[in-house]
Amino acid sequence: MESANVVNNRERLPSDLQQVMTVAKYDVLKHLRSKRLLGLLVLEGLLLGLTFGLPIALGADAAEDPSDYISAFIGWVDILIVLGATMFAGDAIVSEFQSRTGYLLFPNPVKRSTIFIGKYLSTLGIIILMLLVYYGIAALLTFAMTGGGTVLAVYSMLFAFAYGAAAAALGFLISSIFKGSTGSLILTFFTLLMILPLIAQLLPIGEIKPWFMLTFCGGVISTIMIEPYPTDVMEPIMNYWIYYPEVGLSLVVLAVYIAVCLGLGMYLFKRREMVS
Amino acid sequence: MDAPIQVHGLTKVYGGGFRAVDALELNVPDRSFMGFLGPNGAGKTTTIKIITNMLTATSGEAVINGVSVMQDPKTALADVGAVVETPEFYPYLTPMETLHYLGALRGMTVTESTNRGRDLLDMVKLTEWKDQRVGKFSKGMKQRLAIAQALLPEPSIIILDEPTSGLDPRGMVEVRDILKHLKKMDVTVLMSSHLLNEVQEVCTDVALINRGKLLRSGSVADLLDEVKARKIDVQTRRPLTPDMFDRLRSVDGVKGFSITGELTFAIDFEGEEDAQARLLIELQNLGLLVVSFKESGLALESLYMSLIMESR
Repeated sequence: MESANVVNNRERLPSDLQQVMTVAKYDVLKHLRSKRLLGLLVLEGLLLGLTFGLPIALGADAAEDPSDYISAFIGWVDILIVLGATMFAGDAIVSEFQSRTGYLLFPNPVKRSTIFIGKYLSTLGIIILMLLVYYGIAALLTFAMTGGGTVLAVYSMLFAFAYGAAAAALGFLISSIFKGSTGSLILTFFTLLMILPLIAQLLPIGEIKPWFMLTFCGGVISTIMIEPYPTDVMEPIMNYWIYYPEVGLSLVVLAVYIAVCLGLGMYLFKRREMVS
Repeated sequence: MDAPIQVHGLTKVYGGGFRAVDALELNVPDRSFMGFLGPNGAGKTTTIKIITNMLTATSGEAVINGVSVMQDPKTALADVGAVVETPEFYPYLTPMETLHYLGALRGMTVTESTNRGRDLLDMVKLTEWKDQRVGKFSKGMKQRLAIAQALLPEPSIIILDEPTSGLDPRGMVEVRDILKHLKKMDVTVLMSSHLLNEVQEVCTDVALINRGKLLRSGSVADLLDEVKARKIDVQTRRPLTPDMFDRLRSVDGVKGFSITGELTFAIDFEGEEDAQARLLIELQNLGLLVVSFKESGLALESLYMSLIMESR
């Protein structure tokens, strides 16, 4: 016969979903108290300030069309997402092993998959928060300068959320593979900032459209601000193709990246052993 | 009643073929405080990590309260509190927030974990630090907090992996005080250690392993009965001089002795308490002015060493 404590402790165990929310809640707290988020918000402030103030200081004519005006701000979103994915996802998993906090968390009655999903949701939440702040201030500045706004900025933001989700998923996968935080952070950063964009730029030389490349899909964030939405064209002088990502296809590609990276990352995390 | 922790044929082979645990069989009796002993590399921590679902076994099974850790770790670990190695804490959380977090994962409400946490932090002497972030805590403070979190859900099973390892003398004393407190509680404890005096002091049962295999297990009292020879540490005000050696050897039960310091020596002795009392009288009669006379707690060490040597 089992003791009262055994029964009580088993019966009150929360569902996996409830545990996911608990992990996410405390992981969000980690981000909110971290210098990384503060640093990114400061960077956002700098980018917004420079994009807004520099043309005024230089006496340059500002765009009158809200879409054109806010596009200058949106041009920075790509790099913000790279930095967000690096800082909030790049070492999310490996840090549990390297900093030995796994010794505290793993012996608890909670599945590894629950921890993984909870951490991912918190990272996604922080990236979305970061983007909301950025787009919100950019929209306010645009309204102040042009007296209007554009729904295209909302589409851009929604796509930025999707791109952020995919970039974070890639960060989680890398973080599940690496043994050290530094390597994981560096690889996440350079994969998103240099390696994938470089491949996406080289492929058109062989007339291959890089529609399957994560960072190429991320181009929709800026491209969506162009009206009408551009299509692929042959550059007449240099005679090479200029490719543009398609919105629908890019969303599908991002969804595939999210599914594959999270699935593989979770599998690796579940198999990973807590060895000193 | 079935043993709350059962290990059957547990084997762990690491990459490279190193067999850390080798067909280990272990039963931890209900409401016992079992010391899990073995030299470094014997497989203690590997076994505990498998039991707490931090490592995957190559083969075999660990069962907690009738539930296989391999098949359903969430249910199996529901009633287990564990401190494995020296865990690190999330530096951005305070001790109380840490307990809230881990309590929430176990289905405790904030009120429950606050009330229970207050008592536990008091027990581990961290009350005045409860609202400070853990980031700058010393190793001893973290270890005490680790024990507090293990006790949070009032588990009936507690697993401790070398809880005093790496602590300074003060930290060791503080953690040992907590262990003695645990001994009075109605729980089953499995504690790995290689500090035999610590085990002899707090454990009711002991399991000895080497090279991943169980050498012996049973109650401490039963195992000590197997060891007839005891060591007695003696401290005196006057030195033991060569002219006293023969007289000391002639005392009933004395098998030998060794000088350990200017005014200290250790006697290998075989006999019960009456014989020990007679030995003390003889020492006083030698004019040594005995200051301290106590069994050194090394009896378990004698058994341990003989079993380790046999297993090689």
